[in-house]
Amino acid sequence: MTAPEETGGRPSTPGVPTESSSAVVHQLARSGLARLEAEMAQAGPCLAEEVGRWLHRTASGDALLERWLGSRSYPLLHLPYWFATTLGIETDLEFQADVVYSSINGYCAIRLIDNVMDGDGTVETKLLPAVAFFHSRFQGVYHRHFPSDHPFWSDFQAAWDDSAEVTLRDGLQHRVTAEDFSQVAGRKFTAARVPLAAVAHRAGGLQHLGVWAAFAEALGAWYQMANDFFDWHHDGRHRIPTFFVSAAEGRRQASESAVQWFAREGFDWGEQLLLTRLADLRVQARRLGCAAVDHCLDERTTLFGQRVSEARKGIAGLRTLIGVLA
Amino acid sequence: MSAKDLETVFLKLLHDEKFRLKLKTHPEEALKDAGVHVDPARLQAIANLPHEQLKHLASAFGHTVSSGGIN
Repeated sequence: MTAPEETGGRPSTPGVPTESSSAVVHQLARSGLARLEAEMAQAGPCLAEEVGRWLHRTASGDALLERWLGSRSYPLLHLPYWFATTLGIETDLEFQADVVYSSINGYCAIRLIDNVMDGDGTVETKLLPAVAFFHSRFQGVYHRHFPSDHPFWSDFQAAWDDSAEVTLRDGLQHRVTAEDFSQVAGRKFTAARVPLAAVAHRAGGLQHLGVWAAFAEALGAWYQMANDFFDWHHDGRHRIPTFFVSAAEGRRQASESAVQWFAREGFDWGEQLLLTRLADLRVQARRLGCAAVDHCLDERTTLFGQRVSEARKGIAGLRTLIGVLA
Repeated sequence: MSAKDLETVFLKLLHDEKFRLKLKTHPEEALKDAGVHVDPARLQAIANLPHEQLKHLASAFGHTVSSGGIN
């Protein structure tokens, strides 16, 4: 692993305090959500009503913002702002607001498509035309900041193409090996590179983009693996080929069910994989020189530990149950 | 018990609170309702299962770690 000074990473500085940066991102997200609703209403009544209902179907207002920004969620909207604080452009709030607004739209487009692809979509299939709206805002806001011949657009296109390629490949997989995970399923957050590239180009900090983008992707892979881990039973039942579902098929004994495998060794194995990746993320984070990122990892580590601790009690009960029933 | 029956019991424990409670108080009836046959000699052992621990299965594996909010 390369040492921080070898990557050109900046030394860890307090920068903007974590609490302050969190409050700013919260305000930017709140404004971004209001802007999204206003632009949807302007675009068309059906879009505003139907897509607005989808957007708020699990939460609305502060609860929705908490779902986007809370410690359980991938910090999609935080990462570019944290990057900006290390480059000294966090006070450029008009630009930060556009970055957040773009990211909200990009996220909605990806989520809409993913839900349809996963078969989880209830209303999403009929809402697919809204992807055009989300995409136009995701890309369009950056035209205010980068002329059409600006090198930012090469990074934008490369990241967005990569996201499409990875999503397509992921949807076509029938089995997910460790290599498949690192090359495909674990790279589903690759579009997070877009707002990071925007910040880098805006601040003239392109030399730092690589380490930030690599961290964003590795953190995304961790979230994906955690999802696969805690959802292994749901995915297996619905025949969704994830890394853990495939591992259960490949590692279980011939006489053993997936549930028995998970209770016997799968849970411990998965926990260790995720802990190892968290440790690797901490090493990567050192290159970023950002206290907020370190704090983010602290929170994720605590939350993961709490959930695993609770799960461990359940697994102990499951092992007893299997002993009694088998 | 077959792998399929074990899967059924596991999923019921995750998603059906009433089943979990009934498994403790009336294990034979709970399993029969679920379509699972079990050796009567094991019913007492099932009633004596660590039900508090089993409750944690649902809270740990019953929902998703959010990747962003609109799942």
